[in-house]
Amino acid sequence: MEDSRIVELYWKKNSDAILASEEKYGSYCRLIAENILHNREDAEECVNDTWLQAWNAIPPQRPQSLKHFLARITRNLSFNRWKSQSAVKRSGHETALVLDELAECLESETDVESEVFLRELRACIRDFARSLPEREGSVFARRYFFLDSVSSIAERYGMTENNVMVVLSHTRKKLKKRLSKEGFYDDAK
Amino acid sequence: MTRNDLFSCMDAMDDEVLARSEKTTKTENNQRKPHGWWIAAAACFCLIAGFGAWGLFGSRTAADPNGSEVVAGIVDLDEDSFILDGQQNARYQRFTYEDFIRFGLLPEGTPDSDVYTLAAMCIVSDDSLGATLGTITTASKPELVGKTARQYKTASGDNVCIVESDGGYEFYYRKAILEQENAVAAYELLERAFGHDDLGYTLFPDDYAGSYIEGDKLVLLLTNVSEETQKKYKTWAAQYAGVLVFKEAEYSYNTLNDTADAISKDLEDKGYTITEYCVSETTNRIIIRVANCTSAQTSELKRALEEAYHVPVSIETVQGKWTTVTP
Repeated sequence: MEDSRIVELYWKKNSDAILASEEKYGSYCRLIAENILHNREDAEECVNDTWLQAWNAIPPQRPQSLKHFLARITRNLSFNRWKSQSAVKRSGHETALVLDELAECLESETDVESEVFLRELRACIRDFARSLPEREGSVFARRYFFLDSVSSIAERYGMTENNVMVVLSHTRKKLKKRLSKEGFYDDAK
Repeated sequence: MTRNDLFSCMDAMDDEVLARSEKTTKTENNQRKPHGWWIAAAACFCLIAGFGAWGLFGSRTAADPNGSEVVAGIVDLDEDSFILDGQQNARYQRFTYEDFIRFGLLPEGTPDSDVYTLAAMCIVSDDSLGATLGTITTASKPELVGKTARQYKTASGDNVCIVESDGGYEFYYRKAILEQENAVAAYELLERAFGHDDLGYTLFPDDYAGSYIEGDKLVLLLTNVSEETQKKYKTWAAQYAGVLVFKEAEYSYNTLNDTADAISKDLEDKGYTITEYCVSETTNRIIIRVANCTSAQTSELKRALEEAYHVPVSIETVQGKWTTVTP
């Protein structure tokens, strides 16, 4: 079914929207959730919650890309679930690795509760990812949006794992510079 | 800001960036790609990505205002690295703690410490010093320029060298991956010569069948390896023409690409779930990944497709996550 048709079903509050979403994007969202949680049962629950959240969000929202709209919901739900799990229960080792990598982009870690700050950070990351050369941006997205493993990225793009790691390292350095340049390490921000 | 904040905000990447990253993968059933170009672009990406980071560093330096020091217009010079006289293709990277362990200079379990202390812990005797490798011409630390690097003999014979600095020693290793940088630079020049469509995707020539890195060479697959054709590609590769290796292939990249599109559509119309399809540049064939097929079904499918489309096809079957392969 076309995405526009599925979105229409959501707008009409027709439960077929959920069936169509599951049929078309179920495995896609499940993969994202499993990449974060590394647990099938937890991932399944997050995917089911994705349909519910999409149901609640549409309307008023009308996503341009239903696929990525659902992907974002799954990603956020999965990450929230991962964070809520105790360190012992967490099985998303890759998630911890990705977070460690992202920590390299930070001068230091301090809790920020400002919505404005996070909104600006999101805008910065959106612009940064958009500004990257195509291949670099894709590797960056696979790792930090989809949480693909390094080996998976290497397989996808025909790279060696070492190449992938070097690309990611280079991109993180650029992101760190960008964040610094835009004042995200400035206490006043 | 915490790492969790940064991770959460990564979902701000826009749809276009995410879609681009999925070019080699169709992860859901019945999704039509918007145009016929994605396989070509994806394979192009595979090629460039296969080159490694040096493709990213290469020839982009002028457009990278955030980049670090630029060396010879080709690559960024990483932190704590240097170049030796006459070895423009090699970078020497300073040891970290992990490198001391990895190269066997210090035993596992050695307490982590600063690199000066670690270097001092390595006994530097005349027996361990080898030939003079050269003089440092460019370095991230200017004080290293002019100093001599000497080979340091390790049990595994790795390219480790030692530089005397500040009354002590610094250990460096040769980054072999950089040997590929000329091949990467060659491809970037070729890609530029190929031209791009309005969306920025490469327009491959009809005699081009793919390319990949092998050692420090760029292997170019061509449907026509005549001297004239080779000369054309060498001209495009300009000063990097020496790294080109030509191999004849039966099917052009454009042919495989277009056929892959047609096959995918055909299979989807017949009710198959295509999880991914792409052109393999190393084997000059199409690879199709189909969900939940038996081995017998994939064999039959391969036979039928090759008979119908007259190109080599590999079918891989996917059960949930990709698990089994039937070449």
